[in-house]
Amino acid sequence: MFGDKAAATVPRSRAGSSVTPPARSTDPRGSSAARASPLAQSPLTPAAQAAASPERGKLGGLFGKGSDRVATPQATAAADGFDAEGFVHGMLQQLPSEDAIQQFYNSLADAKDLAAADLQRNVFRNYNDFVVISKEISNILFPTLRFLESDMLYLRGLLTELKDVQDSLRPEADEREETLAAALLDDPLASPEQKAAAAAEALAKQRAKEEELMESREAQMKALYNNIDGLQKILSESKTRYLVREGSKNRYWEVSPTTFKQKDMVHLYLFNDSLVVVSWKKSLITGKARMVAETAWALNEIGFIDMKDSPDVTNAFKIVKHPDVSIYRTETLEEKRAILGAIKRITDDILAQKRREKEVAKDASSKAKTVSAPIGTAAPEDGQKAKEKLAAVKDNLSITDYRWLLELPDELDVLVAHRDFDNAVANLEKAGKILSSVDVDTPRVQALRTSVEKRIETLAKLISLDLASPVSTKSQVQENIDRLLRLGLGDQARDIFLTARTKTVRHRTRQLKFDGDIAAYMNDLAEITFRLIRNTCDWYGGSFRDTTMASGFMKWVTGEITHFTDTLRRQVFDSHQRFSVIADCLMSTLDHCQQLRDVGLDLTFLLDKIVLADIANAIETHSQSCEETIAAAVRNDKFEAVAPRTEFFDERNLSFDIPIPRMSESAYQLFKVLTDFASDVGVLMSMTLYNKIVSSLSSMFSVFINTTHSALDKDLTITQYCVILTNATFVIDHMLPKVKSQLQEQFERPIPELEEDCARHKQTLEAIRAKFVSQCVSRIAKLEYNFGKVDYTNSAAILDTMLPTDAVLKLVLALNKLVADMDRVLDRKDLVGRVLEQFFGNISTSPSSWETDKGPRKFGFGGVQTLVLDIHFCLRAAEVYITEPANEAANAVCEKALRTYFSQNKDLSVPLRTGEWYDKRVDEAMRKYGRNLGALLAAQPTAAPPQMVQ
Amino acid sequence: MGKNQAKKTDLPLHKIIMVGSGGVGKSALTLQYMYGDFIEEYDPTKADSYRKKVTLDGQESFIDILDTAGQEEYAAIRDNYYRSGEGFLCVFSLCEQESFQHTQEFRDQICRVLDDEKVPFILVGNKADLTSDRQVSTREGELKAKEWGCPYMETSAKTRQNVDEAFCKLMRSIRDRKEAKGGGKAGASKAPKKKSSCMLL
Repeated sequence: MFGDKAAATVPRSRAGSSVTPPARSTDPRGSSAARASPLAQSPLTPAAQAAASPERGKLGGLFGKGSDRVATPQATAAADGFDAEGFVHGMLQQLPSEDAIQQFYNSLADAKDLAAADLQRNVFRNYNDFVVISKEISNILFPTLRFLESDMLYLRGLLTELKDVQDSLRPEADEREETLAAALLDDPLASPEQKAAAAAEALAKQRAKEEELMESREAQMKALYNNIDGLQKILSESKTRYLVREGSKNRYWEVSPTTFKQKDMVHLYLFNDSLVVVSWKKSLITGKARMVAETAWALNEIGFIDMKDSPDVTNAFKIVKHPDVSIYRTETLEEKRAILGAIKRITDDILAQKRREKEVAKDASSKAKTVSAPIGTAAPEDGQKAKEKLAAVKDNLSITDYRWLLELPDELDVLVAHRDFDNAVANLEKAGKILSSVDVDTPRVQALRTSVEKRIETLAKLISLDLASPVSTKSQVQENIDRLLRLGLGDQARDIFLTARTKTVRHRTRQLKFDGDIAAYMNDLAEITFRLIRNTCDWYGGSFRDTTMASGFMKWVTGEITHFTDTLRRQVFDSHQRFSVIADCLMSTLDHCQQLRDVGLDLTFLLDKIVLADIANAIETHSQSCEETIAAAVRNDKFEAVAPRTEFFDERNLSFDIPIPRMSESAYQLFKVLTDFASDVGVLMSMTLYNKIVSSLSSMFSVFINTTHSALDKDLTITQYCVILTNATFVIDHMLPKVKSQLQEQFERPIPELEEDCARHKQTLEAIRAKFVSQCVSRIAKLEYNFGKVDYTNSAAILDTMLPTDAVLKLVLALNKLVADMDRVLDRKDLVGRVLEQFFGNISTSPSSWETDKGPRKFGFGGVQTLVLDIHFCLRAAEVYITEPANEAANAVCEKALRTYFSQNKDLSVPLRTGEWYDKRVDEAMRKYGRNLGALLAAQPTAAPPQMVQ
Repeated sequence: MGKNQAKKTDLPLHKIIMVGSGGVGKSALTLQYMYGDFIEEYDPTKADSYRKKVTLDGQESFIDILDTAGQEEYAAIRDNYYRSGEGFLCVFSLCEQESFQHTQEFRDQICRVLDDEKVPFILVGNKADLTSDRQVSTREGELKAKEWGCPYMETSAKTRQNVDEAFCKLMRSIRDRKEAKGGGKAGASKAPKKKSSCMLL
C-alpha cells in the first residue's frame, strides 16, 4: 500500500495531461490545482522520512506505520502547512490572461513530474539505506531476529507488489483530481457558471473513466472465463466483480491439513469479493495442460489464518470455511506476505464498504424519522435525537445471525406445518437470544423483531389449541406448556392450561349419573374434583417451576373447590338430607381431599371454612331430632330390664369399668343415638365445631335424664322404678364421664361444659334417688304392709309358737324383691336403708297409723307383742340394710305401740315377753322363711341379731 | 518428514483459540509460550496460527494455537474460526476494565457458535506485572470464572508468570474432555443402531 501512492504520481502526469482539454478556461484551473500539491512537498518525502528514522523503534512496528504514512501524501503536505488551494487561488487571481494560465498550468505539470521523479528516487534511495541499516540491526541489536526478518520480507513484498497494483491505482489517482474539482465547486469566489461547468466536467470525466475501467475489467474477466475451465460453473458472472490480483504468475501448493504433505501446485486468483483456486490439468485428448478452476470462496465467508512456521510446514496460510480447512504454502515468505496483505486490504475494503452502507441506511432512517417527528419539538432535542439515531444504526448483529434470522420465518412456517413445534420453539428461542443480545434498535433489527414476534404469536396460538385439548396426555400437556414457557408466555400457558382443566372437571362432572343416591353421587363428584385437582397440581408443579406462578394455581384450586362446595351445599344441605347422608358426603369429600396431600396441598381447612355454617346448621337440626328420638324412647319405654347387651357396646367400641347393668330399652336408644351422632359428627370433629357438638351432646343427655326423672312420677311397679333408676344412674355416673373423656381426647382439651353437666346431673340423680325411695316407700306401704290396716288388737295371750304376721312377711318379701330388682350398679345398702328409714319414719309419724275414725288405735296384749315380733323380724331379715336412723325409726314405732298399749291397758299386769323369746321366734321365722329371702340375706354376715330396745 | 508422518499424526492435537479484546496481549502470551519471547510492540493481529509439539503430563502432543483478532471490526469473521476450536483461552487486561467487560461477549459468542456451554475454557487476566495500573481485582475475575464454571488465572506475558500453566491447564481439560467423549461415544454407538432397525418397519 505504501508503494502504491508513490508510484501513483508517475502515471498521474501522463493521464492528467492527456485527458484535460486545454481550451476551457475553467478547466485548467481545476487541473492545475491538482498539480500544485507536489510543488509544496518538502524535499524529504514521507517514505524517506520513515526509512531514515529507524532509531524510532523496532522495524516491524515502524514499517507497518510507515506504509500508512506514505499512503496519504496530501495529508503530509497539509501537515507541513501548505495550503494548495490557497496557493492556486492566489496565483490564478494574479494571472492576467488565458495564456498565462495555460503557462502556469504547464509549469505546474512539469513541477509535478519532477516531484514524482524525486519521490520515486527518494523511495529507492531510502530503500537501499533501509536494507543496509536493517541488516546491521538484525545482526547486532535484536534478539527477535525472526520477526525482523519477516518484517523486512514483508516490506519487500510490498515493494514488489508496486507493479501489480499500478492498474488498480489509476482510478484512485483520478479520484484525487475529482476531489480537487469538487473543492473548486465549493470555492465561494467561483461564479455559479464556473461551478456548474466544473461539476458537469467532473461528472463527464468520471463517467468516462468509469466506463473505461469497466471495459477493461470486463475484458479481463472475459479472458479469465475463457482461459480457465470451469470458472463459469463455480463463479457466476457479476458486473461488479473484478480481478485484484492476477494469480498465474505466483505458484502455491496445496498442503494436507492433517499430514502437511505438499500436494498439487495451484494458482490463486483474487477478486474483489472472492478467491478462486486454479490448478493445471492435462487434457486426456490433446495432452495439453489447461487451467481448471477448483474452488471459489466468497471472501466474506472465509477466514485467513497466517500459519507461523513450524517444523511441519513453512510459508503457509490457512483458509477456513467451517467445517473445511485448506492450507496453501508459498515458495517464499514474501509471497505469503504479499497475498495475505492483498487479502487483508480487500477484506478491510469490504468491511469499510459495509460500514458506509450502514451509514447510508442510517442517514435515510434518521431522515425519515426527523420528518415524521412532530414539528413542535425543540431544536436541541432534535439534535439529541438525531445523535441517538445515528448511534442506533449500527448494531452488533453478525452477518451469519442476520442471515439466519432472515431465513427464519420460512423455516418456521415449514416446521409449524410439520407440527415440529419443538424445533420451531428452539429456533424462536435462539432468535430471541440473538435479538436480545443486540444492543441497539436499528431498523433491520426492528423488522426482524416484529417478524419473530409474529411467528411467536401464531405458534403460541397453535400450541394453545393443543394445550386446551382435553384428551392430551400428561406428557403432551407438559411439552406444550414447556413450549409456551420457552416462548416467554408463561401467563398465557397457565391461563389456558387451567381453563382447560376447569373444562375437564365440568365435563367429567356432567358425565356423572345422578340416580337419587346423593351420598354416592357426592362421593363420585368429590372423587372427580379432587382427583383432577390433584393431577392438575402434579402437572402444574412439573411444568411451572417458577414460584411466582404458584398463586395463580392456588386461585384456580380455590375456585374449583368453591364450585364443588356450591354443588355440595345445593345437593346436601339445602335439600335437608338426613344427617347420616350429610356425614357420608362430608366424609367422602374429606377423604378425597386427603389425596391432595400427596402433592403437598392440604385444603381441608378450606373445605371446613366454606361448609362450616352449613355443617353447624345440620348438626343443630340433627341434634334436635336426636333429642326428640330420645324423649320419645323414654316416654314409650316400658322399663323392662333387659339382659346386658354386651355385644351392643362391643359393636360401638365402648367399654366400662363395671359390668353392664340391666337397663331398659330407652337407655339403649340413648346410647345408639349418641354413638350414631358421634360417628356421624366425628368425621367433622374440629375445633370450629367444638361448641356445637358439645352443646348438642349435653342437651341430649339433659333430655334423657329429665324425661327419665319425670317417668318416676308415673304409677309403676317397684321393679320398673328400679330399672329407671338403673338407667339414670348408669347414664349419669358412667356414660356421661365416658363421653366426656372421649371428647377430651378428640379435642385434646378439657371439656368444661360437660364437667358442669356432670355435676348438675349428679344432683339430678340425687333427686331421682330420693324420688325413687319415696315412690318405693309409698308403693310398699300401700300394697304390701299397710301398717294402719294390720290387726294388732288381739288381746289374748300370745302363743309360744307365734310367728310374724303374713303382712310383715309380705313386707320382707317385697324388700327381698326390691333388693333383687336393684342392679348392682345401684347402691342397694344406701337405697334400701333409706327406704326402710323412710318407711318406718312414715309409720311412726303418719297419723293414720295411730288414729282410727273412732279414736286412737287399739293394741291388744297379744297384738302388741305380735307387732314387736313383726318389727323385730323385719329388722332381722333386712339387717344388712338397716341404718341407724332406720333402726331408730323402727324402735320408735315399737315404742309408740307399746306406749299406746300400756296407756290403754293400765290394769293389766301380765308381763310381756322378753327379748330372748323374740329372738327365738325370729330365728324360727328365719329358718322357716329364710330360703325365700335369698336376695335380702345374700349380703348378711353371720352377725349378732340387732339389739331389741324395750 | 515422510518417515515421521505416521508417528506424528498419531499424536493428539489440541486446538486452542485465543480470544479477547484488542491489545490485551493475546499475541504476546502466544509468543511467550511458543518462543519464550516477549514482544513489546503492538501490531494488531488478524489471525495467526502456531503449532508446536509439547509434552503434557508425560505424553507428547501437538498444540495448535489460533491467535485471533481482538478488534471490533473482525467480530463477524470470528464465527468461522471458533468452530474449529477445542479450547478457548479468553484473555483480558487486568489494567483495562473494558476488556474485562468484553470477555462476556466473547464467551457468549463462543457458546452460541459452538452451542456448548461446557467447552474447555479458561479466563486469563493478563498484564499482572503492571500492578500499579491494575483496574480489575482478582476477586472480580474469580467471580466471573465461577459464573462460567471455568478456571481463572492471572498471567504476565512479560515475566512469563503463569503462562505455561494457563496453556497446560487448558490442554488438560481439552484432553480430559476428549477422553470422556471418546469413551462415551464407543458405548453409545451401539444402542441407536438397534433402534434404527425398528424404524425400517
